[in-house]
Amino acid sequence: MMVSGQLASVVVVGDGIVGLMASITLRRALPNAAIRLVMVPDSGVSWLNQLGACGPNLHRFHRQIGLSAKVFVQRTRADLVYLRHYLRADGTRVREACTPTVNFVEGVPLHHIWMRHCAQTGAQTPDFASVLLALQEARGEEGGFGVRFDAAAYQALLTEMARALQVEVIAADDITVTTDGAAVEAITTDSGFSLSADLYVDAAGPQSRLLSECGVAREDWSCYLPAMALKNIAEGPKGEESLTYEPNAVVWQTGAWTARLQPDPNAPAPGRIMQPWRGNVVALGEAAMNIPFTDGIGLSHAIDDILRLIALLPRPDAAGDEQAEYNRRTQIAQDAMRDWSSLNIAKDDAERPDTLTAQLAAFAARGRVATTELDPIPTGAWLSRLMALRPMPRRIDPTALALPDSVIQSTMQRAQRPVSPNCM
Amino acid sequence: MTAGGQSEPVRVVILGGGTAGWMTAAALARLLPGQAEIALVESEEIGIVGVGEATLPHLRDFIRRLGIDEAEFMRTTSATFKLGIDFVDFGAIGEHYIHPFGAYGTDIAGVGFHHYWLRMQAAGTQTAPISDYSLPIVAAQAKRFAPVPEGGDALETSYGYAYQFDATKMAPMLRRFAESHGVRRYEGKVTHVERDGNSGDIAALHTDRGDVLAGDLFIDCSGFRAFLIGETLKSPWEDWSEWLPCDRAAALPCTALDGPIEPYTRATAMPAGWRWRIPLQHRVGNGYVFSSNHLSEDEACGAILGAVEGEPLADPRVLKFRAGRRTKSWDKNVVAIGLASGFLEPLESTSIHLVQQAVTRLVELFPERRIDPADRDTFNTLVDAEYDRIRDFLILHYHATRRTDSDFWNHVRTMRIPETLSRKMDLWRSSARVELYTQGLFLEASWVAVYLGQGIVPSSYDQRADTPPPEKVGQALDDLDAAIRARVAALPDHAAYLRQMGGWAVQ
Repeated sequence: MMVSGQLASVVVVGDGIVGLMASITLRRALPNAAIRLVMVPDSGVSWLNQLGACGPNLHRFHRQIGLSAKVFVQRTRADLVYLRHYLRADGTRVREACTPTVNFVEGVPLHHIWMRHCAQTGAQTPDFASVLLALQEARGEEGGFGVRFDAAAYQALLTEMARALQVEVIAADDITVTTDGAAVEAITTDSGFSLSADLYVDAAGPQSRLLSECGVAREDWSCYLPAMALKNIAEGPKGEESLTYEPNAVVWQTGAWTARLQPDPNAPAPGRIMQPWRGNVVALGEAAMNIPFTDGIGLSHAIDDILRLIALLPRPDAAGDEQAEYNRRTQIAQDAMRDWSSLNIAKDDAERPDTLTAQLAAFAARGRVATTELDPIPTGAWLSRLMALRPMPRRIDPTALALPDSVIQSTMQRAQRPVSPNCM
Repeated sequence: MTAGGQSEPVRVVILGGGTAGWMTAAALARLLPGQAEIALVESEEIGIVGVGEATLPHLRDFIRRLGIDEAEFMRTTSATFKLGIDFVDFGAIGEHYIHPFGAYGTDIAGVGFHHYWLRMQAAGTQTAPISDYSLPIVAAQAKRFAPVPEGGDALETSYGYAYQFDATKMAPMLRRFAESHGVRRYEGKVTHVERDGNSGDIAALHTDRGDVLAGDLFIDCSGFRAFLIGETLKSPWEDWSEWLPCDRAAALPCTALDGPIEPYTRATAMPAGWRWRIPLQHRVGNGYVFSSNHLSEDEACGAILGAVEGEPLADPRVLKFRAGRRTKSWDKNVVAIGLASGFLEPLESTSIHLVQQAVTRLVELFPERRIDPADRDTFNTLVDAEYDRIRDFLILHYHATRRTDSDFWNHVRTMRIPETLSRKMDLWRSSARVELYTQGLFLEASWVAVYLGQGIVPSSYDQRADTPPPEKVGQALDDLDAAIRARVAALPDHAAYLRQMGGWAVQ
């Protein structure tokens, strides 16, 4: 075996939360390396720096980097989310609860048992959210939908942590990127401070440009997704999370804040960088992919990017196999995120990616959740969202029809709180 | 039933009563009562191949889901437990390793155990083989066995187990089960296939006994003949003999020797292929899988006769096959399951698993009387992915060799391999990392076992494994080694456990 050296230096270019997260994680993974974070000003287009929202993986991430859950909750006034309300433009309302996986009873998907009960009893069936909320997985300590919090307070907390861990934080109004055409040679701040490293991490949000300076192209998703901007972010009234779909906007209200999401031609176009890792540069989070979102999946995805990079950190003279594997996994994740965003935000008559069209068709026909491999969105989340936002599947699974009535009844009795069903 | 109303049961006709046919019949009857009317036609004059005496841990789920008691299954099929496969002489003559149903060690700080082991190897401070850090391997070598304890710690739950059973007893057991759940069996040979003039779908099977079996869905479990999917529908076959050149097996059961029963299957590389050894309660299954381009059938029969350890219980029986699969396992209203669908040699005991997977997918995608093409396409995509990944894993066993002692091994060592496999091997060689996927049969631990077992030593490992001080890593390895040995010493002897759990059939 010929083992070469370790990465000795990493420069992270960030504009907020993701750069800080990446720097801290790199510090933990490479205790002997120089980890430097160049903080450039947030231009206001990053959603992750403004919307404090993340899926359940934030808690695991905090455990990995050694951030106390108690401190996080105290400092950011974090709220766990178990239930969401959707108020559609046509006035209909639906509730959504969420579990990580699709649940089964005697080998039969739970939602098909619910559908059979609906077909048999109609309005007496509690809504599907009630059925899920009866399960411990939907009410766990990490929240079915994760956590909502004060983004500015979280950024301040991460900044303190980065400094305490000897991450060198360098503030800059702007940077100049020097490349040899394929790789970055150095980054120079507007004050003339030049930095070079074995690896450069771009976490500077939608304004990112390290990879574009290296000639990496961008894939535009405007045909699938609207360019959207955040408006009127305000402290939210305490209460359960809701999404209100207005004719030309979505109002996302959480226990921590309220935001209005609406189309804006001046907002960064949805899309992704074709190769998120090329040469000695890796782009993470919004620097690699920009999409509108209405839940915690945006920051969850950035965490996945960071952890994927950590798992594939190369040696200084690596041949590029890790890079190829990183790009393979990331593109699968990004495709899924694009589809997820389209499901949540795009209008019904919008063009859909083929993969989402197939996914919707499988669900519509027989309630099947046909996720792709390495999809970062849990199958349970896909199911919950499809059940909340799409019409009921046309067909009940034959295994559900084969179950004795007693199993259907006992399963449904677990749902404690009957409410108006969204079934037929 | 749709959300709006009740539909008629789907009429299912299964052709073939071997392992695949009766597994399918039993599962559909158990899981879809009232939704499917199942008929199975078979002929006692046509023998069964009886694929796969050795299995994979997934079969336990199948048995459990049918509601069959494990001890009864063990007794009925004279089964033994299996913790992995011992591969002998594959990487080089004189070397061997066990591919376990489980992991090596446990991850530390999110970094795979093998990276720490590689670090210590590179530093020269660790000379114990990585197999010493696998509970199922050490247990297998000690011929001890117990199932994974409920609520056990990370080490105690670091493995799974499968069965080694008499395949000729599996189908009769499942037949009894299926018939007791309403499956109608027809004796006879199919003489005519009636097809719908418009759609080309199969409408009915006519037998030499005068029965006419009309159906909505036909399951082709007719084995290599592929009477419906191949001979009738002409569904194309994708040939993989370029990478998997073995096309014959000479099978030979023999008596069991006195002494403890190994809770593992053995695969020993031979000059023109490899031979299996599967210890059951009452006998040992053996067979030489070989390439007819490199060895004659008579030579193979002679070789297996000379290699078995017990007294032969029959003359060697030669089976012929081709590696590959149907490009559409579900075509029109015919679903091929088992050998009619595809064949991959039993090097990793995958035959029954592939049947099980296909049956599971069919239940998930079970159609109405009128088949939705989307269900058919989904089924084929899922089956293809399963076959493709197993194929690459099998090819690795041949290609990752330093053997130069025969034309056969020179061929497989130097042959061109699929790009999907070469990419995986490149990633391993440069970084000790395994291409990540979550679907498919063989995940990270299996790839690590074969890579390291067959001498593909990576040039590097995850640099995070360098972080803890070496003495701390060394101590952790020593502690793990001691913990594994203590746990294994507390396990019962394999045969003793079989008796204890009520699974022993031999009086």
